[in-house]
Amino acid sequence: MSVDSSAERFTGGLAARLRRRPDRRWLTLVPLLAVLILLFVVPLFSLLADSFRSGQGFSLENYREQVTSPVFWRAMRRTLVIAALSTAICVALGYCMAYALTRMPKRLRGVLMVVVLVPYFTSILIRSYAWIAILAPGGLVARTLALVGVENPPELVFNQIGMLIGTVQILLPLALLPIYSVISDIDRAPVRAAQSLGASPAVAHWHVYRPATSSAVLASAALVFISTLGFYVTPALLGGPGDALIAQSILVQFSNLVDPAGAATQAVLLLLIVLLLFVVLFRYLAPSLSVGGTESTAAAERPGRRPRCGGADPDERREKLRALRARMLDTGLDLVGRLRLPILLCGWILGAALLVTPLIVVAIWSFSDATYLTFPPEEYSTRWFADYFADEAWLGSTFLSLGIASTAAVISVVIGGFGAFGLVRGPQRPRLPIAILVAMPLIVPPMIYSLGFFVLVAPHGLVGTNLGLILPYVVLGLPFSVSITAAALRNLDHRLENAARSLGAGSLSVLRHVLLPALRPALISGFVFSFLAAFDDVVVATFMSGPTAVTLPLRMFQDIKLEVSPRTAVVAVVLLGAGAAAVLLRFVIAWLVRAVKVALSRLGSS
Amino acid sequence: MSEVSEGVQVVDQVATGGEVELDGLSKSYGTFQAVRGVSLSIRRGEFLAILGPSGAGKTTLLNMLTGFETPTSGAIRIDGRDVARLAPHKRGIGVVFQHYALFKHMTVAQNVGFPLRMRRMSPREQRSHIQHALELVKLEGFAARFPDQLSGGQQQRVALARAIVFRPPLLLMDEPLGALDKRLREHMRVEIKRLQRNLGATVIYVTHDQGEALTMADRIAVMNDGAVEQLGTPDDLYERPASAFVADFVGETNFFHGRTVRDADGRVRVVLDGDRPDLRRETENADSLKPDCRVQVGVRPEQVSLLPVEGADGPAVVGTVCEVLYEGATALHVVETAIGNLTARLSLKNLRETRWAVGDQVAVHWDARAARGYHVADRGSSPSS
Ligand SMILES: Nc1ncnc2c1ncn2[C@@H]1O[C@H](COP(=O)(O)OP(=O)(O)OP(=O)(O)O)[C@@H](O)[C@H]1O
Ligand SMILES: [Mg+2]
Repeated sequence: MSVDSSAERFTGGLAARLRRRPDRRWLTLVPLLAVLILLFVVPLFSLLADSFRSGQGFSLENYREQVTSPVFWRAMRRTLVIAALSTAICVALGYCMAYALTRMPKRLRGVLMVVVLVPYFTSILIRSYAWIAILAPGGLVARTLALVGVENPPELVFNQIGMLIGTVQILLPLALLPIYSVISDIDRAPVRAAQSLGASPAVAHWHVYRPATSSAVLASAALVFISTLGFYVTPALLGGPGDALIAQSILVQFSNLVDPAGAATQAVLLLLIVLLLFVVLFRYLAPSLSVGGTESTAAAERPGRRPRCGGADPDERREKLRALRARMLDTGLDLVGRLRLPILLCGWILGAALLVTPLIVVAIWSFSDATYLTFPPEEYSTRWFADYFADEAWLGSTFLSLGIASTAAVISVVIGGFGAFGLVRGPQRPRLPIAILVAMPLIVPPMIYSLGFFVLVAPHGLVGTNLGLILPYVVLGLPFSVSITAAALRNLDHRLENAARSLGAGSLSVLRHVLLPALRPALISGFVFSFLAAFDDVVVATFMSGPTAVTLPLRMFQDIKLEVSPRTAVVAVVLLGAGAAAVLLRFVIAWLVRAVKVALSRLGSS
Repeated sequence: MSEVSEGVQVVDQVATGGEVELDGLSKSYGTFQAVRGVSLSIRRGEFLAILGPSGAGKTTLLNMLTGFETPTSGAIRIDGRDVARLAPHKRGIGVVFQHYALFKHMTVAQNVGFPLRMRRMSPREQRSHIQHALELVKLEGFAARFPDQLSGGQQQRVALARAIVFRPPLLLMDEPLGALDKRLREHMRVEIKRLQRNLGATVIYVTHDQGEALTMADRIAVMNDGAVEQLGTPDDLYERPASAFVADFVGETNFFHGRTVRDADGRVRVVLDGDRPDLRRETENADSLKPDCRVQVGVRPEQVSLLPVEGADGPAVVGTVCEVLYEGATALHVVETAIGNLTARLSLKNLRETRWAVGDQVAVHWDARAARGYHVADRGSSPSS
């Protein structure tokens, strides 16, 4: 005890002494802010400027045109409907699954977490593509139905149904994970208390457990909804020709109709909606922004409704009505409570099927012998693998993508790492605005950002160069690298740095001997997330790839649009295999190093 | 719906305590037995304390009563009805949880009103019941506050009000005062006892604090390792502990190792290790001791007296005072003797004539009626060997 506190006093006093020197830790924020402002904010503002430009200088002409265009409104309405539906389904299913997870034995929970996480880390492009193999004519569902004797199955893909299924599958982990992280910490004692006081399990859940989870549910709903608003790949692959969502509509306006101003205007309108939602839902989103302890989150926990007990003479009729309503609610809840096991079980079966089937289908399909879509394959072969490894263009794209994504991820981890240090250890006041700015590349739909970036840099010959791809990917990686490193730094005792400094370590030595070792896991996972963000991207590549530099995802995307063949499945299996091999290799190397060390020490001692 | 209201107690009935009977109740987790064969019968309006060290199975036993754990075997009867398989919300038992388990998003009034709401009571009636319950726990002015705006003791009382507002015939409390400071704990003891007398409810009160159990309970069940070691009134337990464990756990006890012998007169006496071999000591429970066994003899520190060595006669043992701890009304003396170290708690009144100092030689003495022998569950040295 006394040792502890004296040590604290010692380092605390030291910190005060150190602080007397001008604190220049904010300098580490400079690269982060420079990159975000130059490469992210400026493109968006140039887009804004473009949207006001027309034949005769500055005007609102573009807005008038778009707002009165039925095509735009239809795309907008479709987008909002799909977003609302997929959000509702994702959150309901995610809540069910997350709740069931918390009630399971530990070991089963670990296995089922894998079911959620592996799809989460798998490319969106590949998962969407798998749904074609499942849902299209000749695919899994149609063939299965044919076996049962259904000859004309309903059309499930290349329409809004397919779009919805794909979107739900892709966003389900995004809905589930934040809910799970909150509700796995909830104390169950109050639920038990409610039961002992006469509430059936479902009623107790509703009155006691649900209020504690509602802000987590809203947060995940907000995340899913905002993500869906900017979705491009999944709707483009699984939707029909007339089902364009707003992101596709922006692209069509830009490249097919050659109307940059119109595209900019649509982009600005979408951006407005997204930002408006962000502001409205900010207090629920804030916890996942790595801002840490803002007042708004505390406010979110206290319900706005004030109690009405013990007040003055109440309106008798209203109260009777309320009692009746409560009774109906409880009766309904009792029914649900009695069915809770089947409901949770069905939720998990449906969710797990949604999450896992695409991966299994892709793995099997890659060994198909056919050149068109039949699933399950009628004959198996490895010809598509041979095809892939013999094709210069595909291999070239693969290496190009690997190189660009890892370069971008390294830059983003370095800039993001320093930025996180400035964010956590630097001045207090600008923390929130900076954290919001850092999160923005995740919130702003990539279509909007890519368009802005393209329009800005196209005159300067960056399109089709590696640099032109790397720069936007650095920006897309920053939200991950900053937030993960910042979280790790916040858990790291800052007195460690002060202690090292008191022992004579300069800034560089502190970085090398204290910070880097402690932050290594965070930096690695920041790298992985940034890498995946770049490696998975189709939208930026659509704008920035030139005829010679086609990234792998873009090549896959174009290939799928052209004809549905097993080629993309092969790429997916190769990539997954390489990922698994890398993970394995790490373990093997660690094991070898240890074995060598043991052997050497034996030699030395004998 | 009908099924729900059936299990719920009628609220307006005059509260009388329920009668509880546990019959061979056991609970295993895999191969581990958390509760083994507990049989207790608790009378109407009785205050029963369950006392035991951490991990003794107290909470598990309580959870079976509330319905959150299903017994592996055995029966639980409340007023003659077997409830072992009844869902928790249909048992109508009031429970005060260890950390209160208040509903954070509800006000005090809503917390206390919750069981009434579950019983479909009209809002008007609810208000008067809530008011009454809050008066009982002296929290009238706090109805509109949220739990996190209350002190620990106030939260505790809200939990109490919530558990009694629907007049349950049986009230269970799991270390309800565990999180409070000492003064508040002593104050709440009195409050809970007063409440129980007013309500007439049967109370089962789990604690590992022997002071709480001794002052509040009508009877105490001492649990150890999942089983009840002894059931009795507080004075029973303190004066006639049934095992060395109980003697040690309830109050303090000096233990001396020894061996029983049967004397010529047929009585069983004890020869203590390190004592004069010809000295045979009487115990209060000699009738229940077997001859030729290893035993422990327990003597409470306040039963030990220290005398000058010169005048000593009879079954005394000589030792050296090696520590004196002043406690206020009493002083604890640690004495080193041939039969082991022992403590004597002497009241200041007795010390008026002779005060002992560290290093003094004393003759240690106790009354035969204050010593109890306990068989040691020994391996290898059974009576026959
Ligand atoms: N769900 C469980 N699974 C396995 N073992 C359990 C479980 N719950 C309790 N136990 C074990 O049962 C034993 C009794 O636990 P219990 O909680 O009843 O103790 P207790 O007497 O209430 O202790 P305390 O005073 O610390 O609250 C402990 O050894 C505990 O480890
Ligand atoms: Mg316990």
